[in-house]
Amino acid sequence: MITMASLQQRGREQLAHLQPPTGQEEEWQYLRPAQMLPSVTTTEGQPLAPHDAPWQPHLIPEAHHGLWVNGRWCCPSALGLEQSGLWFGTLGPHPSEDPLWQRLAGMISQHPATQDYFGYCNLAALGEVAVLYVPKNRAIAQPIQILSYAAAKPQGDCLWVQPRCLVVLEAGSRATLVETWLSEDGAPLWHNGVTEIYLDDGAHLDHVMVQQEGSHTLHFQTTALSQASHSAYRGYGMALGGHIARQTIQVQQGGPATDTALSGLIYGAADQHQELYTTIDLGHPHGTSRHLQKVILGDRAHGVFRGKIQVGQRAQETNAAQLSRTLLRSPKSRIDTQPQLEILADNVKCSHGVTVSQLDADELFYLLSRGIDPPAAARLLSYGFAAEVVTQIPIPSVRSALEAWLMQHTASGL
Amino acid sequence: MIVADSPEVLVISDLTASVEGVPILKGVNLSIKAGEIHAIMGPNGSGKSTLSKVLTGHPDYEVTGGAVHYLGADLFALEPAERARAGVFLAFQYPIEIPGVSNSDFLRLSYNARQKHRGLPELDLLDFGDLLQEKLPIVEMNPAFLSRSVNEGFSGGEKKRNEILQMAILEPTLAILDETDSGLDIDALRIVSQGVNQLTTPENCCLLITHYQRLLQYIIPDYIHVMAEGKITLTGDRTLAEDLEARGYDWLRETDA
Repeated sequence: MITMASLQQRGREQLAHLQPPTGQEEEWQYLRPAQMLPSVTTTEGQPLAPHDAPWQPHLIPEAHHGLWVNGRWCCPSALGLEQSGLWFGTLGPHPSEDPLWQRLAGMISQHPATQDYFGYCNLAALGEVAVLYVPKNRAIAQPIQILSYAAAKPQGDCLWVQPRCLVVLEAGSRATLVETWLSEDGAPLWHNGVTEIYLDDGAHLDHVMVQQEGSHTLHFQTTALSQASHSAYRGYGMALGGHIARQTIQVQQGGPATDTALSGLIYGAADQHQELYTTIDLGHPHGTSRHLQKVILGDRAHGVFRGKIQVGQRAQETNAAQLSRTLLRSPKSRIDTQPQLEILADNVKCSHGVTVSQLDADELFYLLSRGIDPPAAARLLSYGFAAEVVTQIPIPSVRSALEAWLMQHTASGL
Repeated sequence: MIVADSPEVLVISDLTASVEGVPILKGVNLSIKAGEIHAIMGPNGSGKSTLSKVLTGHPDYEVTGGAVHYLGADLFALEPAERARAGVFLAFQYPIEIPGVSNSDFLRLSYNARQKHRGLPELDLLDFGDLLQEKLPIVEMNPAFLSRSVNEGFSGGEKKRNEILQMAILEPTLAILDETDSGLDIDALRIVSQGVNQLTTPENCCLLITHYQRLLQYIIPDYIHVMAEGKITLTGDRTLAEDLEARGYDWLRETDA
């Protein structure tokens, strides 16, 4: 029988053979976890006063909610969704012999993207796993929001939170998932989250990710996705916060005619360092993928985007497109951006593009000539640059919250 | 219209300017009073468009000498956005596309910047919507263009109409129209010209920059200036345009000689 303890045990065993990346590895050349990771950590966050819910403004009104607070699942209300086979809740410390419980537990840490140092750190600390399970041919109309909130104790050790989510959509089912990552400014915090997603034949997932971590947070997030044939995934990644933040998104297309779409925005200011590493593995015929990544950097912010597309030998008649566009708003901001294509099939379409630009002088002058001040003009142009990805987000309240956030933040950072 | 004793809006004295170190304007003198419409004509490369960019403060153009007074004060003491808020408006020859920014947001932001400068109340979305509905007929513009990104995917004529719509909303004291007729078919030219004619009053003035006489059949200027090699070489009334059309700009060089 699989239990949380047995999974933890596996994590610890694997960790015994692993070291944090040193920066010698190609995928870690801009971060050196071995030197950078906090040596002393705690899992005890700042306790909240009764009825205090600082995450409240970030809850999506039209959604069902699940909540991580300081790395612990605390949302019994989510269990209310256990009806007609749909499950939004957790796999917890009390194991069950229920076949579905065991089947889901058996999927944890099976995705290769979770089998690295950070994935096993998360597994070794496993307490509960947030689960969204949608049975065959069911569609949930309401979005599901899983929100992680953390606050470290002032002057305390670095708070280490490691939320883990498992999303399983059975054949022909459909859902909308929003993951929101929040933390307080001021005290050191390390988020090491893992979300594993399995889409069966013909399933459809809209997945919005909003990272608004605090200014002292080290944010690592692995999103591991496995798609069966004819399934569709729409990922919307908004990386806005954190001090140092890195998201890895790894997609395996496991059958023919699978469709993957990613669109994202990285927004960096002050001395933020933001990384996004994506891998889309098209291993079967007629697969498609599209990725539009926008990056806006100001002040001394540093952005890194590496988008890998692998087209295997069997992946004939596939179509993969990737475009990354960066707007550098200040002389000291910096981007390292690199598409990486590995194509082994001969009858495929594969396109990629990279642009890096500054605020356009003619566009700026046009706005100035209409009486708009330079900071407001720069804000409007930055907003316009991001709008293409933000307007794609399928949940109106999330979209308008992001638009408001951008309007507020793009005024500075020049 | 020429109005007796009307105040001077713009006085340009011995203005020189260069682009990337190359002198383009070589001593321009021009005075425009409230109520007047002036046209500057001239061959390509004579400095007409440069004058419009210098007056509005484009950063690529460097003023190297002379002075410009706008409503009695030094125009060059103002930043580009301040000039606009003080009532200087340029209708661009090539209006800029701004993806992701809706035309109505852009218009409202511009309008409110001007209102704030005048100490007048800024308008919220609803009230500004009403103002737009009132102004749209001036250029016969389809309201659908308001929700689209600024000038993005607009035809040449739609872009120019959008410029005149901005003029209608900002109510400038000095409107400079840079080759507004270029790229317009006859219907668009009529609509744009009628729009401008509706907006001229005894209190404001207009400087038309054009290569061809065509526009001047629709917007009747009080004065026509001919610009050549960075200077105004000839000034006359509207009949000068017809002479130019008939005889070409080369005729001027011959008379110079």
